[in-house]
Amino acid sequence: MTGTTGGERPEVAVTPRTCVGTGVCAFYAPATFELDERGRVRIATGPGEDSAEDIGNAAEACPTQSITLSSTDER
Amino acid sequence: MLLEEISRLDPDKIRTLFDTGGEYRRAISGGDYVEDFHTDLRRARESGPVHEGCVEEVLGLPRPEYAQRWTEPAFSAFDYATVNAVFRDDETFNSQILRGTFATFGPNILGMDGAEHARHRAVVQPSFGRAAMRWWTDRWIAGITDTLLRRVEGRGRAELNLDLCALLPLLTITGSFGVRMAESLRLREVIERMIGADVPREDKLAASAEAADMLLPLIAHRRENPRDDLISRLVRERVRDEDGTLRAVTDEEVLAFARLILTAGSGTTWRQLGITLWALLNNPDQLGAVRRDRSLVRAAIEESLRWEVTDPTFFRMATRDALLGGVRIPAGSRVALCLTAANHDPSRWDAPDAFDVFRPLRPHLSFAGGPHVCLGMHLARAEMTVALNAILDRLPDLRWDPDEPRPVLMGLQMRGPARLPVVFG
Repeated sequence: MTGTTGGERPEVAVTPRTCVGTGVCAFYAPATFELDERGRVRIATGPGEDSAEDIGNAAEACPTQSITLSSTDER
Repeated sequence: MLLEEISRLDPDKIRTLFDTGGEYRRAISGGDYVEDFHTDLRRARESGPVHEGCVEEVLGLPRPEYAQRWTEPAFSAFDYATVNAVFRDDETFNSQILRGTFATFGPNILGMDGAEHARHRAVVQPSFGRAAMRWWTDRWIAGITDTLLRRVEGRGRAELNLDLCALLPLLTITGSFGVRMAESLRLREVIERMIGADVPREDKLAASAEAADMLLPLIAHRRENPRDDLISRLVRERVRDEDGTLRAVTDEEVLAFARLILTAGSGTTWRQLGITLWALLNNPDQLGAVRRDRSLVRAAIEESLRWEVTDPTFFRMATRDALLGGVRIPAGSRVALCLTAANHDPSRWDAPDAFDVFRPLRPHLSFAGGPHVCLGMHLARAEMTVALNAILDRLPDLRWDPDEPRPVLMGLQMRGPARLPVVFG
């Protein structure tokens, strides 16, 4: 069960199954990540945009590695 | 009403409980270390990154009394990659070593691992999530901050360590519990004795029992008469047991959480807010920039967290033989993780010893990392954000008091400024 988002930012995939709901991701990138009613990560639907750095910080800081990023150009 | 209640708090007791440099704190935390911490840590990391011995020994200090009781070998890690990796590998480096807190706190998430930790943390996580911060701010933080500043803003000078930094986090937590203002200082005193590094075991247990005497009646009351407070929230939560069944949280479990939240919430944010103000007062250009551009408040708080961690060392235990930073760690060893040293790793931050609110934000380890990442991190940030904005709004031209000696940051296991004497207006 994953969700993705595209655009200028990196491709983002989240894994709610391993998420423990600390909200670290939404601290760093609140326009990209939010918690659902069960307290698990999902891709945010609200307005605004986070920088690639914000999103990278969120993925890096996630305590359970429930966020994966992939750059659109395959390196 | 709040103003009256706060003005009735015993100022001598406040001074004793929150006197970073005083006898009382030295006695409970061995906290008279005032050396050049960052330079000492840099030397350790450059010759490391992992050393045998506790942090004090690596820094060339005598082995402290609390470490003399350890029977297992000890190692200390000083670089970002190692500390971060240990926090995230809770199978190789677990938290069993913190089960020592169970005797005084009750069974609590500090000493749990894996699925057990996740099941219990889930009980308290919603009350400390970002979504709950509006509630915390509106219900407690904003009013307490306003009241504390109202007491000093007409005077033109203040000692912000006691007048604001110490009281805001304590009164936020005790207020959220529904503890009467008059009992807040007593509860803090009891908790301090419960966790004091050099307090005899029987005194710690007595303090733990006294905390129970103060909190259990409150917990029982809120089960029957819920209010808009944290204990009422917690008693409504459910715990998922190992077999998957959901059951009501017990009074003893709420009590253990309450002791933990009091310990963590009233001792750390106090000193981190003090460190933030200390660093800004010593860098008036940055203080001015933050005053003019409030979007920098977030950066100032994150930089303060990175730059000087209030509780610099956390412990894990190796469950199997491991290799850390090229050093062989035998199973059963204690591993000390020096967060401050990791946060000053030059491979991650340029000029890491400089306090610089303009540096690009990167995740730090001040709230630890991995599954045990600080439960109260969003609350700590909310308190510091409200307090810093209020100070910038209401104490114009804030600067060190020229008639008082410049305070230092001190302490090795618990760091913070001894005092914060300021003038304004």
